[in-house]
Amino acid sequence: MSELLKLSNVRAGYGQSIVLDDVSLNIGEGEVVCLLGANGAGKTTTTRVICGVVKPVGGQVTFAGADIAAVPAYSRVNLGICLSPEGRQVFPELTVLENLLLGSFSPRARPHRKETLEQVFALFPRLHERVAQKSGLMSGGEQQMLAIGRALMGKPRLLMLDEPSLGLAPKLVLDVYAAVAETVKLGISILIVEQNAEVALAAAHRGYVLANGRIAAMGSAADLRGSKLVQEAFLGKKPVRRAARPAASYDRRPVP
Amino acid sequence: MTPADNRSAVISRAIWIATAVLAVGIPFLGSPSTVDIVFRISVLVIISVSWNLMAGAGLVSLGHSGFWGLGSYAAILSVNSLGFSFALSLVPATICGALIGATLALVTGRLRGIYFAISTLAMAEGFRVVAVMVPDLTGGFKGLYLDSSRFPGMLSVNVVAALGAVATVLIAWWLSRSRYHFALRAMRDNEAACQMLGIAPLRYRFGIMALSGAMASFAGGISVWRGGYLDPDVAFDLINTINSQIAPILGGIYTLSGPVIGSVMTVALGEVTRLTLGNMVGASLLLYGVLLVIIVIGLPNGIQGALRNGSGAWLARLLQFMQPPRSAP
Repeated sequence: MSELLKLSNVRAGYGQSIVLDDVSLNIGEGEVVCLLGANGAGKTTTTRVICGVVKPVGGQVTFAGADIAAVPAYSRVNLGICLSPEGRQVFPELTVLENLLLGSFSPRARPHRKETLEQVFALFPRLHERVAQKSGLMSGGEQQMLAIGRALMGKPRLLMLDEPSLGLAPKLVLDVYAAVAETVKLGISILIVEQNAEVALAAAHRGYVLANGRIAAMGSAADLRGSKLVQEAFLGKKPVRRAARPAASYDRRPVP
Repeated sequence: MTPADNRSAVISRAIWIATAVLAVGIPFLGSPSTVDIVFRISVLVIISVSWNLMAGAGLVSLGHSGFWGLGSYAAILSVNSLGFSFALSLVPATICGALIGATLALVTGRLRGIYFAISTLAMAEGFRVVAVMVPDLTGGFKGLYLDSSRFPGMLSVNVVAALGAVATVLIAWWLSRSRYHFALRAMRDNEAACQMLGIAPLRYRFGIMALSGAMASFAGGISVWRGGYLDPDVAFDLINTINSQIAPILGGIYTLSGPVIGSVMTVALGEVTRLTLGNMVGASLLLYGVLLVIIVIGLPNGIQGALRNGSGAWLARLLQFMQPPRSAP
């Protein structure tokens, strides 16, 4: 499997505070990778580094073999890096169709927008039903579908989903992940950033666990699901006698 | 599209064309006072469309009097010092506005909302102070008189103002059908999210502010030819900033027809209060203020919005064409 995205020893943060200390990860062509971590572990910062909104202070980001450090955020979309952001960020005053068409704004995606639109509607029939509705008036689940659909309209080579299950009813989480499974068949690489480890590991081939700005664990989805660290931290299988103890070994380590 | 939709689209197109023909035709035929009213409406249309374009991208300007005054000075100085003709003097006026708009876009960078508004206000006030401080160029408080030997006659000035208004609306109409419009509208909603879709916010800001500045300075440049006199307080009078927003807010903000309807209403209102309450100083301003408050509370989408949603729905269907159409970006 050839490599699509590679982060090597990335350090990044906001102003004085360093959020990502030393993060290395890679995603292959057509691979689904999940990035797990608690609140404040640096998951969203990782997606921001990849899409270029946050500039790393150290390390390298390569996409399809090329260093993309100098590529501004809005041009990375044209390389095929598309993000469905945390909290959805749809344009509430615009209709579903307008939101989707804005997703294909980049010169690379624009000529194909009619076919891509068909694909997105096949993936999310609900969006087709609501095509003329203002997106701000839709439910959270529908907005999440719209955010993913809008990212797909950019003809991604790498699709990043930041917390797609956040704030959704369990049934809708399954719907969203069913769509993710369909997207994989299109040959798109996917990075899923999640707190909901159960669904993310079920969808992904491989995973990374992020804690305090470092990769605390990595491996195949099956391995991670079996590991003690993930079970205790994310799957709620905490031994009863340790439940009251606040700090596990991976948690809240001071950054040197 | 149903036949009824089609018919109302044709009718509204006819209304637009009739309005444009009327605006350009009246200077040839009308009485002097009618012609003057058309001139004021035309200039107000230009500056309010300009303001509305920027507002549509989420950039609320409090500095349109700055663009206006700059255009005025560019026009009057190019005539007095360089001997430019009437038509030629509007070129430096327009270019100055575009340059300052573009520069302001670069300087304000990512500023949004109130911070952006304040910086535009500061720019306009800064220009006024500078104009006072360089009396060799601007005449300071004594002011400048336009070289009257260059005056082409009121007819030319009126016709060019009307043509300018028509061109401004045409540009805004063309923009409203382009993908540029969608990018700007998305910027108004969420500038950060735009970047993730491959829209470079700064590039679009740069373009829209250059265009908006050029329009407003053109309006300032042409009004010099009506007044013939300029001093810093006249050139950078805040009334132009205020009028440029009252008209779109009155007519319907973010729409194509809003600034036009609003400009006609604003000037008409001014005339009515002047005729009925003319001898009471400030009465017309008071009425203006009260009406504006009522409109903002009662008709948040302006007259155009009220027509579209309210009891005037039948009329709104006629004006449907004036809405920016929703074509694919």
